[in-house]
Amino acid sequence: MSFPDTIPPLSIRSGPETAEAYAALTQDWNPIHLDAGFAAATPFGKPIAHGTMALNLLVEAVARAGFRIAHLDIRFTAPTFVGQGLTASARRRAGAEYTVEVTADGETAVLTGTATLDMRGTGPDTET
Amino acid sequence: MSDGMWTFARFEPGQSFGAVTIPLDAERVAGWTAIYGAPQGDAAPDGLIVAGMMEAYIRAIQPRPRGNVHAAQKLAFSGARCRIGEEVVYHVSVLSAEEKRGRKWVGFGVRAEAGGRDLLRGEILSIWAA
Repeated sequence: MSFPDTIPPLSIRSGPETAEAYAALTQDWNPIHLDAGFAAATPFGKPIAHGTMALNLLVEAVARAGFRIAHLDIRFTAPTFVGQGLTASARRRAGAEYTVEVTADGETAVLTGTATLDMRGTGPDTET
Repeated sequence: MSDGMWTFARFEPGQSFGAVTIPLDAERVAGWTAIYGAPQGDAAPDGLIVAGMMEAYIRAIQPRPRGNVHAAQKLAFSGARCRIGEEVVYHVSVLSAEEKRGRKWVGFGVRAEAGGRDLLRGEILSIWAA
């Protein structure tokens, strides 16, 4: 089994309509993500994206490269402000182990950690 | 704070919040597509299972205080396939609850299955607000 040195980066923009769609997807209607007035009164000062929006960008980047996440361990290291662009990437450390990261506007790491990948189609009930 | 609020003091390791069933229906697929693009074929994107994990976690523990912070996450996909249109059953439990440096850390476990097939195990580490 061969693993590439990097997983091709995948990007999205986290606009208000994206925050609304993600709230509907997860039924997470926390106003910190959606209501500028509410967010203004928090330490963030403005709406922040759902943390797992960045996580799922990483999961999707891995899937599009033909792999799946066997194990992942990440921390959310900074908020993503609604309106920022998100980019997920992964860089191989050794074997199937990768350092993973999602950055906001190409600068701030909002998610960092490690992942062990596996080929897609190697699950317990894979059709052959 | 209303009666029944899930505050930090009520969490105990081993505590179960039961099962939450979430259909991978057209509405959820449309939400996924709007953000990440259309799925290829009839297989559910792995991230759709993760999104369901978050929905189950939120639905299982209500009412909850405002201002909880999702600090860290672990995931392990089994590799089992799940198709769009299937129902996924999520089992939510408490893994850990400890106060450190004035912060209330709670670890939640979520196990996802569909049709008896294990799909995903997740650990959500949260800083609970109250």
